[in-house]
Amino acid sequence: MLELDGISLSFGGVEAVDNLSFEIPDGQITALIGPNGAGKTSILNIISRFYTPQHGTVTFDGHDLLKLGPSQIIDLGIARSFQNVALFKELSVVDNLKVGTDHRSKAGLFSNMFRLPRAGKHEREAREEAESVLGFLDLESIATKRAGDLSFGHQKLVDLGRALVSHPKLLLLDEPAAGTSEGLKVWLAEKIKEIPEKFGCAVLLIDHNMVLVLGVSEKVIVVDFGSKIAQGAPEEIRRDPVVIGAYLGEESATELN
Amino acid sequence: MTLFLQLVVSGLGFGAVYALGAISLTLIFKTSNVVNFASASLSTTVALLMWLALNPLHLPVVLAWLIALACAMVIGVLVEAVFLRRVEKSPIIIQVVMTLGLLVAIEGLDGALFGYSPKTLPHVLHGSSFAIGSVLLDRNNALMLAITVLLAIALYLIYQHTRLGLALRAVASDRDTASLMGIQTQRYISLSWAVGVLVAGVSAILIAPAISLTPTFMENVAVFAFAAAVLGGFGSLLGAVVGGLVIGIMSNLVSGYFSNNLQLTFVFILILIVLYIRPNGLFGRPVVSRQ
Amino acid sequence: MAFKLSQLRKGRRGSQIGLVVGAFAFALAPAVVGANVTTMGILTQTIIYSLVVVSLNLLVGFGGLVSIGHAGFLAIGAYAAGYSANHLHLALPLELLMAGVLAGIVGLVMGLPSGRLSGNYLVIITLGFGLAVPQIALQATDITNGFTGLTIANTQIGPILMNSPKAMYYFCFVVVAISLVLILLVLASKSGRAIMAVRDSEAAAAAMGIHVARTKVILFTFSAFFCGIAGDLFGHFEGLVTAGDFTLSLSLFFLAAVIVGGLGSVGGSILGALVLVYVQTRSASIGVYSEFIIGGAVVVVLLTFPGGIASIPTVVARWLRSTRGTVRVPGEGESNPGDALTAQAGIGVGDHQGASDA
Repeated sequence: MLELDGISLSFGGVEAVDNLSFEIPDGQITALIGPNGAGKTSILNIISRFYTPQHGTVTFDGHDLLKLGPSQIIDLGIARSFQNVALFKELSVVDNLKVGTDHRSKAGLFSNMFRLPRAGKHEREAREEAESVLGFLDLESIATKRAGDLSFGHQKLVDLGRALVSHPKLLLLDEPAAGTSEGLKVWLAEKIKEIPEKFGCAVLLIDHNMVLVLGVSEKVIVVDFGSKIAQGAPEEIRRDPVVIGAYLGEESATELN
Repeated sequence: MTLFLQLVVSGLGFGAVYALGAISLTLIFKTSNVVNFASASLSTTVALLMWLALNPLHLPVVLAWLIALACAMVIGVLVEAVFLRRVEKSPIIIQVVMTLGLLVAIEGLDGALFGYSPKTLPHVLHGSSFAIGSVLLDRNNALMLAITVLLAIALYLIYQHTRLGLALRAVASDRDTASLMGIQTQRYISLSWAVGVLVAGVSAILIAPAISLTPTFMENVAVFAFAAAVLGGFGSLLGAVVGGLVIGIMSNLVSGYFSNNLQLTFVFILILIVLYIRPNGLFGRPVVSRQ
Repeated sequence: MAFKLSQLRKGRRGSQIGLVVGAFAFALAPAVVGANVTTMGILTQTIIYSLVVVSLNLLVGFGGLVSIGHAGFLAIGAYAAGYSANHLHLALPLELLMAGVLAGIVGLVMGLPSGRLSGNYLVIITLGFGLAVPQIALQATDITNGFTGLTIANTQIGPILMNSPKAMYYFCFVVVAISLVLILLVLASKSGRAIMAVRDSEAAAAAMGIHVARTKVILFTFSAFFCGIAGDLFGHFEGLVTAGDFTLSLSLFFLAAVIVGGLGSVGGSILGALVLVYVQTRSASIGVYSEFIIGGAVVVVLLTFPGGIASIPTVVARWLRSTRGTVRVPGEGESNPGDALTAQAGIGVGDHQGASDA
């Protein structure tokens, strides 16, 4: 469904992504891993259209993504979370999630000002869907809290929920477990595994946490210095000498085996 | 043609004052990332202190200048230390509103202390205008231009060729990195406020003889200075100087050919057009960020 | 655990009750404090200023953009009222609409560049606008009657002529109340969420499908529209408007009322307008210090309780809770209302900041 072909991106001469190509299949969890500075977040920012690569193409369901701006791709079904959580921190949790549904409403300022039927209908649907996703993530009890007041772990969950509630076909998760407790990491891995079936979408997951990545994903792509160095099923990646050498290092490889 | 040249030449004098205002804004913005909207009231205060030293106190002119400029630097340091530093971690909008609050408060304080009746400061130079061909050049306008150009050159040399300038540029480009490199960023921010208010104060003292000195007399001048800084892209001293001179000449042409009462309107439309076409000003370069 | 709808409303209930109580207070005020000309004038001015301050708060508090030219939009509305009353003789709703639309169009033109610019530039644009409007007003003598000022005929609804202070008061009350309801409806809708989302994180807003620049331009237009309506009321209330009524100081006072009342609070803005009118009417006794007091209030509020008057209940509640010995979790529940308006997104630095989590 998502295809990157020959992508190169540089910042003032520094190559962040170098001639990278990969494909993300429908309905699966694909992981993108690599050492720090390997260009993972840059790739995510290309897909979500914050960066525009100098070379290459990105297609999603037959659409040329590079022609679109960052605010247009959610309508195609691409939603993302943010590594350092970019919540709307003055809004309540439930309002953060409602924003995730808002792209589906055609109601403009005028309809909203006079609460025309279409605006009212959207508000009801937005609330219902927000509630159901809050239920999925076990966040009902903090629904009315101001997002900025939450603990970091809760903020990460709200960030995930806001992307989920948008009905994505492809969900981009930028280190959803980074900075959270061990307990939450395990719980979150289970939740992420449920996502493709429950929400009918593919997931592209970036994370440093190997347990999470290898535990939940069906396909793994490894990048280093902006290039792909390996891809395959988690078991293959775990044993791939190139990956072990370039990324995991001797110590962690022993730990994993 | 003579009228045109005359308007251009006399516009240079006011342009120089706008340039000083723009330099002040740029100096402060570069290091502290704050657009000093209180500039008008701060520079007015300096001019009023000058008046205080000259009129009720009858001090010699040189001493009055020294006192006014010393006060300007102290005011700059205090405003930054007491008010702006306490909101430096706040969102930019809070910092903007803080300088606007200071604008109102200080203007009000000036009004309460000095009254709203117009006061006069003497011209620095006396004597008639001198002619260059068919064009007359006012002595004081020439002086304003000379001071502005010299000050701009001096600041440029300091910025580009001294260790102090290097540190200031480091603070300007990345405060966190500069502080990691052992530069005491706070000291340089204080310094830029001191020099910034000093330069703005000079502009107020120079222009006060031409227009009457009241607590609000710099408001309109400040708009021209902001326009000059916008034209200059809020980053370069050269841009500020050129921006100031361009604004001075163009607004003088507007008042010469159309109406004296449309200068502010002209400046407003100019700002709007410039920002629409070149969001980074005529001299500003787009900021490259890894966004 | 079942999710209850009531939970959703809980957070807002306090402020909603406040607004309803406020509406009743204003509706009954003439009966309580007496309908003499002076008090009715003060109350009417408070009501008109409330709409101005709320419209400015839409921009500053909800949208994170600063304007110091709102007196200019007030002027446009006031002159529109005059032109309609003296020449066009439009029906009142149409006249109000015209005032709002004219101000809105000017706001749109000014807002266009702001979509792509940092907030500082918008302040400069609005500063230029605020100073240009009185100049233009003095030139456009056909519409504004220049230095002499424009006399605006009493307005009329059907057969009722608005010639008593009480009638004028209730007329303004109804218009402002309807405007505020419309504003609150927008704020509680998708459009309001978009405005606040852009304020809190431009990157996340964009990723959620919100066109950031367009949202800012629409917000600016929206704010100018309601300020124009307030200007229409202002014109009828004053009866005579001159270019000198719409100064930079007035715009700055409106901004001060926004800050003192509370950024991002509609109820706070009404209180801010009340405080502003109070200080202005007392300036006979406060004298030369009134401007210093208004500016100083802004500085003090920003340094001590940046949420303004509206945040006082929260601040007090928090203080009471802490004195009752509740253990406070560090970094949790401590929110500074002043950091309302951050627009920092956590993208772009990912690969570096992730280092510690590896």
